[in-house]
Amino acid sequence: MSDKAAIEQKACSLFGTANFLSIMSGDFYILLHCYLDCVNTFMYGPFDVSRKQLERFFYTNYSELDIIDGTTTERLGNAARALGETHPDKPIIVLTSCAVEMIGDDVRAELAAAEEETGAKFILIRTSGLGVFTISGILDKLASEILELAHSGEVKQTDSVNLVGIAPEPEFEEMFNRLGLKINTCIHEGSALDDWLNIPRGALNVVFDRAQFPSFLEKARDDFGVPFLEVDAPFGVKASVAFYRKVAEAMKVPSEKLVELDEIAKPHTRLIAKARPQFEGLSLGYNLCSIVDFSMRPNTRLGLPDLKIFEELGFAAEFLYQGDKRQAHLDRVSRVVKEAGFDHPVCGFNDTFLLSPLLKERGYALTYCADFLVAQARNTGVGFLRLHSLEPGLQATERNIRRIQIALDRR
Amino acid sequence: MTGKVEKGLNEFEIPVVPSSNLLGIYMAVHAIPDAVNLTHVPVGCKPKIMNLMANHEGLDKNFYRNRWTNISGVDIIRGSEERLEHFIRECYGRYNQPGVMVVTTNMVIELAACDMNAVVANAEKDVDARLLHMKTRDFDGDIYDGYSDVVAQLASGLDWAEATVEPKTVNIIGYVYDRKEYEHSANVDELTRMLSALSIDTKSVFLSNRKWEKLKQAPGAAHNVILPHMGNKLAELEKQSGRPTIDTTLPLGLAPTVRWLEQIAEGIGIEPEAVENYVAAEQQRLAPALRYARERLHGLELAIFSDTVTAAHMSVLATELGMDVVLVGLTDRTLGGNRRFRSILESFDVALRDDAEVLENPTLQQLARIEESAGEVPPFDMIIRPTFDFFPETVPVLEMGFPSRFAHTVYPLPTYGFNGVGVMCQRLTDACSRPRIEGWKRAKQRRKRNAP
Repeated sequence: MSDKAAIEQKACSLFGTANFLSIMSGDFYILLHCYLDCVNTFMYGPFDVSRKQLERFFYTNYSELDIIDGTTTERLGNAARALGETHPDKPIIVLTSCAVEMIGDDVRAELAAAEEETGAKFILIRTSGLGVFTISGILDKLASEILELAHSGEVKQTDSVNLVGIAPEPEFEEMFNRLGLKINTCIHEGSALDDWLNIPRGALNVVFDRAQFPSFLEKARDDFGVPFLEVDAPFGVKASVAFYRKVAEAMKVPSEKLVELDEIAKPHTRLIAKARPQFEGLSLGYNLCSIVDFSMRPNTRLGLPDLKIFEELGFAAEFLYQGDKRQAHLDRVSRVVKEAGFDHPVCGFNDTFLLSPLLKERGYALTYCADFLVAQARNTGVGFLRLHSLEPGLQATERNIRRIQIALDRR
Repeated sequence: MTGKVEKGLNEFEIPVVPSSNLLGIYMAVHAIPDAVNLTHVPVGCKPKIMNLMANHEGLDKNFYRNRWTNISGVDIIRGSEERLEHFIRECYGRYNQPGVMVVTTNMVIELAACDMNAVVANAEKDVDARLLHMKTRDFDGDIYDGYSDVVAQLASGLDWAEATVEPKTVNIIGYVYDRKEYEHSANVDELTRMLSALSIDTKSVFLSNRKWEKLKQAPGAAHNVILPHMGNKLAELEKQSGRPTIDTTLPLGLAPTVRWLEQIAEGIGIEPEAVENYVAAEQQRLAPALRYARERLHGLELAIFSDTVTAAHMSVLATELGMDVVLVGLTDRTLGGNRRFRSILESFDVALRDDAEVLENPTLQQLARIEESAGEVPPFDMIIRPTFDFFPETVPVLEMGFPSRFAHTVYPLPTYGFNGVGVMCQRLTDACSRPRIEGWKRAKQRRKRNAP
């Protein structure tokens, strides 16, 4: 296992995939080959999902007797046929669970038979909680399976890019337009199925962490002719300018347009220069790996890109890693964050309630922490800013500075 | 009202309220401040339950007393007993000698034949806490089943023989304390307040956010009052404890509260006049609230989605307030369903209208069909339900029950007892918006008139 995978949050792949699908709008159905308790995975879960979205889910509801009698596959067949007959023209994504993976249900063969009988298109994603699945791994598997539904004959728009792993911001569209480019699709946790199926029409996949989507990027390149470009996520002025510049260069935008980019960045650079003296040298506890989050942003390079904003403002950061705090493991964390371009010390805590004494001991000015840890920061004298509450892009500079100021003032 | 059923597919539909035995066990542990929950499960089971719990709990999101072994497929193949045993001992030390430790697992581990009994028996020697091994019934259990399993094991495992019994004292067993919010503390206070008005002292309430030391005082009580969410889990308690058991109704609604007091008074041997006098005084106190609520709510059609026991008693209360219950969704799987629901209503001489519908374990898709067949005008005026969309934006909602993601009680507001009736009058009248409801009523009448 790589260092990064070792320190990343792990999750049940059924839990992750079902949650992700629950917020993906689109005309498709999901069949869970699981029993009742696993249905809890996506209902009233981490995402606020409307009932309409949840209505697309069905489950095989196998019983203990089905497992003992070996009739779980039969039950899957019945459910798949019933769903396929009712909705033969809609894709049906099938997820599996621990018990049927453990006993080795021949799910693929059963779905192939149902597909032949009903004419419906089934997409099998084998999921369970018994393996070691990183959240990135779960998202990558889902993304590459969804790409199966896309058409390879789509007409490519040579001036348009796909942004993979970030929610759309008005600024992105505005800036790309100035550069003579278009955004074909933006892929994030709230994207609709159609957004995913649009991928082949883009000329380039712009990704902020290639390790987050290895199979997906490979498939998009090999099967649909969409190459990818890895850039730093646009957090902070420098990273934002670099993001636009790199994409523009890859898309062969004339160099005179890039000069304009520098002009646009100037007022934001001045804001940073003005704000920096008040933050210079202040200590920051930057939280890592506390929360199982199926959004894409926290899983982009372990959620580190936001740190660029603090670095730009002169904060002295230290990582607050939640997990195994033995030295050998913390060394691993250090290696991973260094590889990602952040050379700061690492502090570890395993239990949530140990964060409070750690914050007091370290005496940070500010901590950028997962929201459920807010109670731990109370009465510690450390300012609390919710992890990933800072925004990407140039235009967010002023808002980000204000948020940091408010958090410090509330200490 | 349910619309058409898609042939063959309905048995695979998703229940609208998630429920599992394991979730009930977690809830019970959350309701004992010095209890620790040790779950022998893979990576997914704990977070998914924690998600549900964290969304339902608004005030105390400290769930760090829930630990899990995070076992993998490889662990199952190699045998995971040793790992669990070590884990129990380590947690006992780490949590500074908790009062109760609950060890549980999920169906996959149960099927893989991990010898949990042996593990718990071995660890017990080194652990000076009430150590429970809860068997999980993920396939056919539900929240109430898991919760009452823990309560039953705790109550029946007490040392009843040694205690000195005080007269006119009771334990209340089977209160579903599913989150640490003020609705529950207020309910517990209300039950004890009403009993103390009859000079009855409450020793322990299982469960009520009280530590194990407090719960252990239960054997000092002369009687055990069993609330209906316990089902028949404590059928043997009378024999085990040597204390008379008083099976009661749920004190939710006016008549149910009166009956609850009567049942306890009769069980203890208190003169009926004492109850009558107390009830008369309370009813007099509540009279203005009831009169006001009846004026506002009379004739409104209500939908209730809740567990069987609560739904039945809530229906009694709604009827007392002049409302018509036209749709009921029973969201549990173990509390008796439609049959028990109807029998509770009958015991209070309450009958639903002929066109009223009772759905057992309703599904998401079933709700969609009801919405579809209703069109723009909802088939009821108001709904009491947990967190899920049903005629969103068009029907006044009182969010209650599990899970309540958006409604949290940050101030003591009981739903049980006489004060509960008053609070419900307030909450129901607040929730209904008369002008809007009047508009729908007119639309409904128009639709009836225009029907072929």
